[in-house]
Amino acid sequence: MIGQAIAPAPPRTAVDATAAATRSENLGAPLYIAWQVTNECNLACLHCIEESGPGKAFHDELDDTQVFSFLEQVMERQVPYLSFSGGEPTLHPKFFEMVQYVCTRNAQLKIETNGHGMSREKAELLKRLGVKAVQVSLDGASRETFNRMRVRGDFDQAIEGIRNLHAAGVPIEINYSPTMFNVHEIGQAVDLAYQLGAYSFYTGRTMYTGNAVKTWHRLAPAEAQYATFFKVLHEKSSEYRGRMRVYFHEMGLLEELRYRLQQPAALLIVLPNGLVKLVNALPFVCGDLRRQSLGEIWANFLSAWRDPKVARFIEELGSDSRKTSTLHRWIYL
Amino acid sequence: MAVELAVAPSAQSAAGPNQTPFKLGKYAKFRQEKFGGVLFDTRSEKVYALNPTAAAIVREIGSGCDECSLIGRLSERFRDVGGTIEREVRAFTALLRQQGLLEE
Repeated sequence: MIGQAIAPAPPRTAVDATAAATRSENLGAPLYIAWQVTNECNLACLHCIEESGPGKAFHDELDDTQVFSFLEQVMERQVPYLSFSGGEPTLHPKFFEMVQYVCTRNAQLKIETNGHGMSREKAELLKRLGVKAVQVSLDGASRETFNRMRVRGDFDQAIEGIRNLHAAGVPIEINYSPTMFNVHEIGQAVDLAYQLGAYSFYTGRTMYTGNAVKTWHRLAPAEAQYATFFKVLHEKSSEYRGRMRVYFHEMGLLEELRYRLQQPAALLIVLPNGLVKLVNALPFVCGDLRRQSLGEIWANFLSAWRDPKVARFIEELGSDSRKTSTLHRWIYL
Repeated sequence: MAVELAVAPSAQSAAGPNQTPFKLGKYAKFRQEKFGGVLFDTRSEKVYALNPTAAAIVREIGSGCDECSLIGRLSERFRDVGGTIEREVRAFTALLRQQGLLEE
């Protein structure tokens, strides 16, 4: 009898999974680890959530032994998907060794980079190593807007990096952060992403945190600008259906966090020093890889979402949206 | 970027048994869980929760067998005589194909 043998409390058919089963608390490990491998960056962008920049590496970033010990645990627990970001992840001295470690062990890896310095040789190496995708930040369809946003950055260098990735056959995603001075270019930016060979385009609302706290008066789009921005994105999403996916989150941060409170994603955010956060937009830390195993941290992560301090913080965001400016003042749970 | 949890809809296939070896798609990653398993489509970033029957099918697919062998192995293991396994396998593999999670 099939039901007795393999499905003691069987759903009706093999394809009829229960919604309850998909909740993170029923999983034995995270499904996705987003690792900010260093806070060092060659750029100093106006909106950078991590306040990265030249000379901004944390003084206590994980050393090589800790890095590979963590990766070993990730592979042992069969976490299927990782991303390396930063800062600029390609500046990490062991970047390519880390990429190789992940890609040769049956996990998939996405790199989130500013694309500057992505030479043909590096792009070809990433292709050979088998990265799943490289996401490049391209906040503008023109040199004028891009260079204004990406301090120390250069539009032409980013485009060259993307072209090198495309020539090497690396799947490309484009990420776009809207500001008051680039929202009008969103349609052109989507078109440009497609012309450059991207298969996905991501955007959403820019957050009031990190460097944006200091530059908000120069960045924040008006609601009317956002309305036009999302209208164009709906049109572009239809226009490129089947050719390039155009993803965008119209939801504001508060709605997103309220949803996450009920349905935490099976996602760990790992900081360069090994601290693990509940979610990027909140200050709560649920683990420390220098002292705890991945298994312990996953258990803490699940219980931390039920801590009343988290729900309280999110509700307070409803009356004071500027509380996101404190997300780098870590609160340990 | 968001990781979304999704539940797969049911599907039916009218095609006959296929003797081409199955292979999970490049972007499909399976992990066993207490409730069965999860199949993560890393390209769309969708997660499919699998009940124990579906998880057993995906484990067999991972071993590289074709549809006929898969049905034979599971029918024998679970002593199925009514053809339930065959229907389950065909419906589920059709769904995997439809989602781009299966290569042949």
